[in-house]
Amino acid sequence: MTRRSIRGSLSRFLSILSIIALGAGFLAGLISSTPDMQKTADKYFVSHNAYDYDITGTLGLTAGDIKAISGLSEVDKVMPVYKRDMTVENYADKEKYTVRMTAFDFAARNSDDFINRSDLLKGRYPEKDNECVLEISNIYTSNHKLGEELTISKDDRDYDEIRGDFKYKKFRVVGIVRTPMFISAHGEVTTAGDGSVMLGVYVRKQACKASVYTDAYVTLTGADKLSRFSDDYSDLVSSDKTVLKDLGRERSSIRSREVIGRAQQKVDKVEKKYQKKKAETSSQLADAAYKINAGKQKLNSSEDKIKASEAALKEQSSSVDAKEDQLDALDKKLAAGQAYVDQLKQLRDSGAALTEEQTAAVEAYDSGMAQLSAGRTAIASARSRISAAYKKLAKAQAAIDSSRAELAAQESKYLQARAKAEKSFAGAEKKLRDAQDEVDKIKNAKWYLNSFEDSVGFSNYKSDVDKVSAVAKVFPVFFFLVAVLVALTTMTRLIDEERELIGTLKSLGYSRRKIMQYYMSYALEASAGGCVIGMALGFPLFPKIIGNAYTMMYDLPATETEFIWKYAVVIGLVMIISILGTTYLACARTLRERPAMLLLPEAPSPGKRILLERIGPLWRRLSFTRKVTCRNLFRYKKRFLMTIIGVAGCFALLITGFGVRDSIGDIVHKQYDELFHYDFTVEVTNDKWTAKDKTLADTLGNKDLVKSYISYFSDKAHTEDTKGKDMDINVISPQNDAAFTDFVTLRSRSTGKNVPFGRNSAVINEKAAESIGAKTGDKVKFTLSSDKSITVKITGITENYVASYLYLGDNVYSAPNHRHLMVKMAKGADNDKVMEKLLDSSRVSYVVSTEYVKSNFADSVKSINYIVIVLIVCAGALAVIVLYNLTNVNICERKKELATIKVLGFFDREVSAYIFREINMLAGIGILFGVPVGIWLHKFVIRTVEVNSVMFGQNIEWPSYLYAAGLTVLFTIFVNLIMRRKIKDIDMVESMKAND
Amino acid sequence: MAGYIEFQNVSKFYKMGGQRISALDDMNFEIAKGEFCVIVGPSGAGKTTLLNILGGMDRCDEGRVYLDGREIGGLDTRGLTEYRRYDVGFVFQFYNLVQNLTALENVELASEICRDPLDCRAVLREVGLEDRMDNFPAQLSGGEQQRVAIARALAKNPKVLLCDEPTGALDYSTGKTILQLLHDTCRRFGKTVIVITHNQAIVPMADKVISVKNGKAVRVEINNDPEPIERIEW
Ligand SMILES: Nc1ncnc2c1ncn2[C@@H]1O[C@H](COP(=O)(O)OP(=O)(O)O)[C@@H](O)[C@H]1O
Ligand SMILES: [Mg+2]
Repeated sequence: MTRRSIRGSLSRFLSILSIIALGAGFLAGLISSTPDMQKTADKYFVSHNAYDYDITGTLGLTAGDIKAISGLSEVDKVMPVYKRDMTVENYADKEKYTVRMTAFDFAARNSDDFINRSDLLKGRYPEKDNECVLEISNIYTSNHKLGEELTISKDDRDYDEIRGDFKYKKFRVVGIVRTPMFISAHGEVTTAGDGSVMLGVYVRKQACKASVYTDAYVTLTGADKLSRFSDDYSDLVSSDKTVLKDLGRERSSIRSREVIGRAQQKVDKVEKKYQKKKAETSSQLADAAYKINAGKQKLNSSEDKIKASEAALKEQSSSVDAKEDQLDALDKKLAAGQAYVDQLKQLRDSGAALTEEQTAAVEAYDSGMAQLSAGRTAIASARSRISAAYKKLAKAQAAIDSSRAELAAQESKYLQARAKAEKSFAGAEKKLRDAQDEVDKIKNAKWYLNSFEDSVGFSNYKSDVDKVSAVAKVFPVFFFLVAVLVALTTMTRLIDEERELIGTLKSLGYSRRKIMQYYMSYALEASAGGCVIGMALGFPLFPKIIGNAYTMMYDLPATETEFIWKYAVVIGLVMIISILGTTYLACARTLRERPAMLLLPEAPSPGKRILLERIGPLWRRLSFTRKVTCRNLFRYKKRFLMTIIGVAGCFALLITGFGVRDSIGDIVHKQYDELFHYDFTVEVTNDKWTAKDKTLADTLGNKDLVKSYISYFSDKAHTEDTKGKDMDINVISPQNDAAFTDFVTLRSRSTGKNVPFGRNSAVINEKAAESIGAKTGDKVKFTLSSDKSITVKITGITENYVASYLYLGDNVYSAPNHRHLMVKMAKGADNDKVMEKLLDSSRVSYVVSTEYVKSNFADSVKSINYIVIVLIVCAGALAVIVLYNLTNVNICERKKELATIKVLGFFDREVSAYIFREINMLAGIGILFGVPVGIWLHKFVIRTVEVNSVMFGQNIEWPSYLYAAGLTVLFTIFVNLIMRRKIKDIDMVESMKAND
Repeated sequence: MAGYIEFQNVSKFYKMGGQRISALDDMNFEIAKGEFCVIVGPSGAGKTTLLNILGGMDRCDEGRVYLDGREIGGLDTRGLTEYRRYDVGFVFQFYNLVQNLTALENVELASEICRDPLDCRAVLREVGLEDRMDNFPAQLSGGEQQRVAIARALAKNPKVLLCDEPTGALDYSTGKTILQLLHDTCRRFGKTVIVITHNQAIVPMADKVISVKNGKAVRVEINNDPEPIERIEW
C-alpha cells in the first residue's frame, strides 16, 4: 500500500526525501568535517612520530644534555639534531630563500626512535653529504625541482659560522619530503632572513661538522594517546614544560660554565704566551740599546785623545818653527860676517898672523856655522816626526768615523725593531682584549622550549579547524531546522489531502492502527531514506571538500572521511522522530473524526477580512487581483509562515555566504590598497646607509623606479591581552612623522575620518586595541624585543585588518635606529625590477613586496571561499526545494480553485499569475525578513571565524544583497517555470469534483 | 430559431487499458437561442462529456459542434479559453466559489476578464442576494452559494449558460428555487440555458429535453408548453 502511495505522488515523496537528505547530509557533513580533519591530522602526527617539544639550547646541546633529557620520565623519546635557519641561494634562478637546514640520521628514519618521520613525495633520500631533500611548505606555488642546487648565501649574517659547521656549502636537491615539522603553507617564524622559513632542507648527519647539537626533538610520555587538538594534550604539554624548564636551568648553567670556562682558558693561554714573548723581545731590545750606547762612549773618548795629540803636535810644530826662525836669524848674521871672515881666512892662509881679535872672529864664525847646520838637521827631523804623527792621527780619526756610521745604522735598526715590537704588542693586546670581551659577552646558556602546539603550522591549523567547527555549528543547524520544518508541513499536508482516503479505509473496516501504520511507514520511509541518502553522501562529501580547501594552506595528507555513528544516530533520530511525531499527531487528529465526516469534504476554512481592508483608502486603490492575492496570503497562515521562514532562511544563508566572502575578500583590498600605500618594505643592515651605500642611494634616487620612501624603526613588541595572554604587535616609529601618513593611511573604521599622526602620537590598530582592551587616552605597557619596556598613551585607534601595529611618534619613543624603509614605486615601474635593484645593495638584508604579501594572503583566504561556495550551493538547493515544496503544496491544495478559474476562462498565463503573485510576494516578504536574519548570521559567523591576527570586514556590500536577492528571485522563477507546467496540466474536470 | 447550438455526429472516446469507450457516440441535436434546455440521462450516459465539449473544456474526437454559427471543435487551446471566457457561463454542482472571496468578489472575479460584463451588484441583486454581497461563501447556505455561482456565470454576459447538476448538492426546495432562478434567467435575459440532470422530474419545465443514453441523444422533445416549476414535484 505504501508503495502505491509513493508512486501516487512520487514528486512529493521525492521532495520530502530530498529535503530531508539535504538537511541531514549538510548537517552531518559539516559537523563531521572538524573531527575528520582532526583525526586525519592526529593519525598523521602519531604515525610520523611528530615532536611535542623542540628544545633549543642557545649554546648547543651536549651528549650530556641529551642523556639528561632522555632520563626524564616525562620524556618518551629524544632525537638530537643540528638545525639552523639560514639564507640560501639558488644561483640558477638567482632566488634567495630562508630555509631551516637540519642534519638527520637518515639511516634511522624508519626506527621507532626517529622523531618527525618523513614521507618521500618525490625523488630519493640523500646518499651523499652534498645532497639534500626539501620540504616545501607551500607546495602549490613552489617551483622547486629535483636537481636544483642550493648554496649557503654569503648574505647571511652568520655565514662564517654556518659555513664552518657544514662540510659543503652547496647542496643538490634529490628529493621532496613531507614531515610534521612544516605543515603550514606560510612556513614557520625565524629570526633569519625575511622572518619566515618556507623551506626545510634536510641533509645527512655526516654533512654537519658541528661539535654539539642545536636542538633536541622530544616526544612526551603519553602524548601519543591524546589528540593534539584536545585540552588534555595542552595540559600535558604545559605541565611537562615546568619539568623541562627546570632541567634546562640546571643543564644550562653547566653548559655556560663549560663554554665560558673553556673560552676563558683559551684566552688566558694566549695571554700568557703573549706576555712571555713580550718579555723576551723587550730584553733583547734593551741589550741592543746598551751596546749602542757603549760603542758611542768609546768612540767619543778615542776622539778626545786624538784631539789632545793634535794639540801637542801643533805645539811641537810651532816650537820647531820658532827654532827655525832663530836659525834663520843666525844664518842672516853669519851671512853678514862671511866676507870679513873670508878675508881673515885668506890673510891667515898667507900666513899673516891674525890678531887675537881676528882669530876669535873666525872661530866664532865657524862655530856659528856648525851650530846652524846642526840646528837645521834637528829641525828637519822634528818636522818629519811631526808629520808622521799627523798621519797617524788622521788614520785614527777615519777609523772612528766609520765606527760611528756603523753605530748609527745599528741604532736605526734598533729603533725600527722597537717600533715594530711596540705595534705588535698593541695589536696582540687588542686581540686579547677583544677575545676577553668575546668571552665576557658569552651569554649564559638558555633552553628554549618550542612546543609543537605553538608552532605556526599546527596552531594555525588548529584554529582553522575550530573555525570550520564554528561555521558547522551555525549554518547546518539553521539549515536542518528549515529542512525539518518544510518536511513537516509537507507531511501534514499529505494527510489532510488524503482524509477522504482515510475515511474510506476506516469505513471499510481498517483499524486505526493499520491506517496509522500506513502513514507512519510512509513518513518513516521518506525520513529514514532521506537520512540514509543524505548522510551517506554528506559524511564523505563535505569533509572532503572542506578538507581539500585547507590542503591548499597546509601540507597534510588528504582528509580521510568516516561515517560517524554518533552524529548519524543523533541527526537521524531528531529527523525521524520529529517527522514521525508530526505525522502521528496529524494522523491521530484525522482519525479521531468519524468516517462519515471524513468522507464529506473538509469544511473549507472560512474566508476572512484581513487587516489591510480596514485601511479603506489603501485597499480600494488595490486592483482586484491584488486584493485577491492579499486575501489569500493571509488566509493560509501556516503556509504563509512556512514559506516566509523558508525563504528568509535561505536568503539569510545566501547573504551570509556572500557576506563572508565580502568580509574576507574585502580585507585584502582594504589592507593593501586603501591602508598600505607602500610597495616594499626594506631592511638595511645599518642606519648610516645613506652616506655609505651608493647602490641603495642610487636606486632610491632613481625617479624611474622609486617615487618616494621613508625610513622607520621596526620592532616586535609584546603585551598582555585582556585574557592575560601574550600578544605580539609590530612597533613602527617613522623618522619623518609628517610624511608617514603618505605611506600608511590611519583612519577610523567607523567614521572613516583620518587619525592624526605626529611627534606625540601613539596609534594602535583596532583589533589590537580591542584585544588589549585599550581605548584612546589609555596608557599601555609594551615590552620591546630588547626587553625594554615602554608605556605609551594611546592617541588614536586605526583601521587595520592584517597583523597588529603600534605606530609611535618621535617624542613618544626615540628609536635607536631607522633602518627600515617603506618604498613607493614610481608609476609604471616593474615590481620585480625594483625589488631586484633594491636587493642589489649589500646592505639590504631583505625586501618584502606588498604585492607578494597581498597575493599570498589572498590565496590563503581563498580556502574560506570554498566553504562559502559550499554554503551558497547548499542554500540555493534548499531554497529551490523549499519553494518547490511550498508551491507544490499551494497548488495541490487549490487544484479545484485553479480548475474553476480555468473553466471561467482565465488564460494559462493568468492562472499562473494568480498563484505566482502570491508566491512572489511571499518570496519578497521572505527576502525582507531574511535581511536582518542574514545580517545577524553573518555577524555571528564572522565573529566565530576571525582569528587573532586578522580582522575581517564587518560589512556586507550591497551587491551581495543583490546577488542573494537575485538568486532567490532566480530560484523563484525557476520554481515558477516548473510549476507553470503543473498548472497547465491541471484538468478542468477537477472542478467537477466535490471536495474543496 | 434552430441551430444556435448544434451537435453534428459528435463522438468522444476514452481509452482505458487498451479498451475504447465511447462516451459520446455519433451524437446529434440542436438547441435554439434562448431555449431552456434540459439534458437528462442515467449516470454514465455521457451528459458531462457533452457539456465539457460544449463548454470548451474538452474536444470531441469526431463530428462538429457549433455555437452561434462558430465551430468550436476547430479552436486551439487559446481559442477554447477565449470561448470559455466570452461565450460560456458555467454553473457547477458544487458551486465552486473561491472561499476566500466575498460573494461580490466571486462575481467580480469572472466579470473582471470579460469584454462587456453586467454590473456585478445588479446581477447579485437579481439573484436575490442584495444583502449578502459582502459575505464569504462559508457564511452562505448551499442555495445562496449556488445563486452566487449563477450570478458569477451571468455577470460574464455569456451566450450560453451551462449547468451541470446544479441542484445535485441541494435539498429539494432549494433546488427548486435554483431551477426557478435559472428558468427566470433564461426568460429575462434571453439566455440559452442548458441544464444537465439525471432527475427526470424536472423535464416538464424545459423548452427542449434531450435524453441521452450510452452516448447518444436518444430522444429530443420539444415542449411547447413548459410547466412552471412550482407545479412540479419530485
Ligand atoms: N476522463 C475519462 N476517462 C475515461 N472514461 C471517461 C472519462 N470521462 C468519462 N468517461 C466515461 O465516459 C462515459 C460518460 O461519462 P459522463 O459523461 O461523465 O457521464 P454522466 O455525466 O452522464 O454521468 C462513462 O462511461 C465514463 O466512464
Ligand atoms: Mg455527469
